Amino acid sequence: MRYKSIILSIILIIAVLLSSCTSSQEIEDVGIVLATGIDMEGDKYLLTHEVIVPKSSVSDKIGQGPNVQYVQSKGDTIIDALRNASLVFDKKLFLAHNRVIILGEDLAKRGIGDIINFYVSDVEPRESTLLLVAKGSPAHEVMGIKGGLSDTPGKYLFDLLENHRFNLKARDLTLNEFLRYFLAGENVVVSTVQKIEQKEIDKEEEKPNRTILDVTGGAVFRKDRLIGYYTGDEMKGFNFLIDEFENGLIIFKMSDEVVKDNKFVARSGQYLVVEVKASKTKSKVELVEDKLLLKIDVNIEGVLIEDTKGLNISSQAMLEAVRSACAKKVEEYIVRTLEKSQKEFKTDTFSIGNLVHISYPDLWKEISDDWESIFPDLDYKINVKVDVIRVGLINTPVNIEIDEERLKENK
Amino acid sequence: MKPTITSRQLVALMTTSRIALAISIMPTINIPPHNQDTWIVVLLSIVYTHILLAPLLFLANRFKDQSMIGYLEVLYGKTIGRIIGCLYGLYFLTNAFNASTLQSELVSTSILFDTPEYLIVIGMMITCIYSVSRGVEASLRSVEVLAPVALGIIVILLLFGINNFKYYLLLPILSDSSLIDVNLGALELSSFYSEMFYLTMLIPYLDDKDDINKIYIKSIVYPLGLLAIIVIICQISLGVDHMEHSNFPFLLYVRSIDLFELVERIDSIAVVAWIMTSLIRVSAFLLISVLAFREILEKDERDKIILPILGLILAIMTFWSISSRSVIIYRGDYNLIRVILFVGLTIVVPILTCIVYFFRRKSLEDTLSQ
Repeated sequence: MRYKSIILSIILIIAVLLSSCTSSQEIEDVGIVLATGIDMEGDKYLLTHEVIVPKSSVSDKIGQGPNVQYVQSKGDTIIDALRNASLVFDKKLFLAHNRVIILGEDLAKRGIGDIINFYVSDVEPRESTLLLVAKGSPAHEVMGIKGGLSDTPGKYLFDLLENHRFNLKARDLTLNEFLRYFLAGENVVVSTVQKIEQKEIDKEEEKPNRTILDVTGGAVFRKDRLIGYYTGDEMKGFNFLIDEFENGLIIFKMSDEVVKDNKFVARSGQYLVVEVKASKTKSKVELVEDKLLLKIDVNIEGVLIEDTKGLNISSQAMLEAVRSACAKKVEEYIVRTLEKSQKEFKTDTFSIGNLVHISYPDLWKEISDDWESIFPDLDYKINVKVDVIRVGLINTPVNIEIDEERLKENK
Repeated sequence: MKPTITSRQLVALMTTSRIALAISIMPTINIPPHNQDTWIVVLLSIVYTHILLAPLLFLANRFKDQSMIGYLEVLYGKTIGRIIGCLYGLYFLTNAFNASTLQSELVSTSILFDTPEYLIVIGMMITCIYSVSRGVEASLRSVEVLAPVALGIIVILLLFGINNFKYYLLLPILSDSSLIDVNLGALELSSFYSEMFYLTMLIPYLDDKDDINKIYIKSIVYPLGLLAIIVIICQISLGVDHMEHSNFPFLLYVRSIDLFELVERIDSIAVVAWIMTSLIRVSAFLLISVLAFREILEKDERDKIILPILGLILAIMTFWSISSRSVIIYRGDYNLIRVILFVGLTIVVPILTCIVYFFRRKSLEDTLSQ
């Protein structure tokens, strides 16, 4: 009995020692980082951390006082800069809740291979952290800007990136996804952020303008270096090409010919908008007469969500015309992005090389080293099929008169 | 009454022990052909493993009432049999050492990075030694309880990653690998399968000895089948190159899980599976090592010396090893030794033993009939 008690006591003591208490980090001892900005200052890394201020430590009432503080530190390496922060900030920075890593433009142009290493090697940072480039500025300049309802600027930026799915003019890319492409030798398109000025509407504010963030576009990397940007519309083409276009909008025009028989009772506009409900892009590479041909088939199901032109959509022919015009616009998005990638960047940002690898493995072994010189001259063929499966809650736009004959036919 | 174990318990032990290796360092990704065809290598290794371990199976079928140490003494005579038995006992201890160093480094790298190594080693060793001290029956009964939990966790974690699956990462199939690469890879992967020795050492305790062949097939097909699924899922989530850069690919996979923003940051669940499977692996190799030395030194289950001595040696070696260098990074340096030990003790000695058996079969049968 005595022997068992001793053993039991030892086990209990060890259980306590090994219950992670030795590695625990008390919340009052750490500064929880929500966003990180990385820049170069001379040959040193300049880190800017957005650290959350626990409400209990704010002496003011809840809702008053800042939610976050900013900590800047320099170092020869990322961990050096991170630890140097403890010389100027009283809490140990804790990266497990960091949501975004913002790279300054100059740093991104220089190359980021050396700094990514720390974020995937250390246990604390998460691989699900979003990676983005501060377009036209150092990273710290786009930090500390809160233009929405989110609690903190870091969360505001994170939520903006999450919102990209409503328009597909941007993308969100995690560290893990970056590495998946990068380590496979593919070029990556990373999210961007820039600050913009807007007129201040709130009359109680003293300043005439307010600064907000905009995440439109994408930063194009060749290997680990930034080489340029895609615009918002080019990102739509990009998202179609990588088969990640759902819930986005296709905004297109149709000729006046299609509405010439309508009786307008109010002003008509130019644009129609289809919201994509389901999209599937199938890309493949074929060898035609010893030349590679990229074939892109896009199938879209969408809803005609806005019609400023005043189309009589009750006719089958009209719906067909809408489909055709929408498909043409999608093709335009894709061509624009592909052309920029081929002619301006001369870089395959869509992993088309991987399609060659899959379809023609032997050929790929021969041309993989020269792929960046082959890609700019790659021929392509795009085929877009659009199905408009819903037209919303009205059958006739409010700016045209209802065709009574058609209503009778429908009865 | 002699303790007995069921075939289900033995299959659970062999499966879980092999999976422990897969979900920690996943050696599969570091063997040829180092590309998207790795899962084919795993499936092919099922065939190679069956072939390579066939001599051990044959001997197990011939000596159903004796452990490996027992029939070595019968076939080679007491002195030579005991020397070879000692080699096997040390080999089992080496396997326990490999498993314990991996587990200690994994824990100290990924979760308890501030905890002193000696505490991790002491905690692990006390658990394993206690488990082994309860005897074969109790150890296998605990495996029967823990294995489904651990394997269930692994399967659930594999399903949780569905959002990240990119199936094209498995393509092209068998285009970048030569037939030689794939076969060499499968052979090398087979050399990681040491679990057959659980069967050879625990046969005397088996309640139904006619199940040996079934246990043999199941205990190779189940873990390697599950390993193929683990490799495929990690590959289509992370990509081959990303996996190869990682010390713990399965942990990396679990860290990347984000299912509809509801299921994320569930590394601790994977750690539970790791700890369970690794403790089973370390305990099982320690157990058969103890059984081997007890048989060589003619001690019975009441012996209180061998287990503490082997446990202490294991603890000191583990502590010394993980305090001096990273076993994960430098494990490649010992690969040749591992392969030599595998070839020697899993293929060469059993084949020689089979040959000796054929020559001595007649005299053995006469002795047994007398």
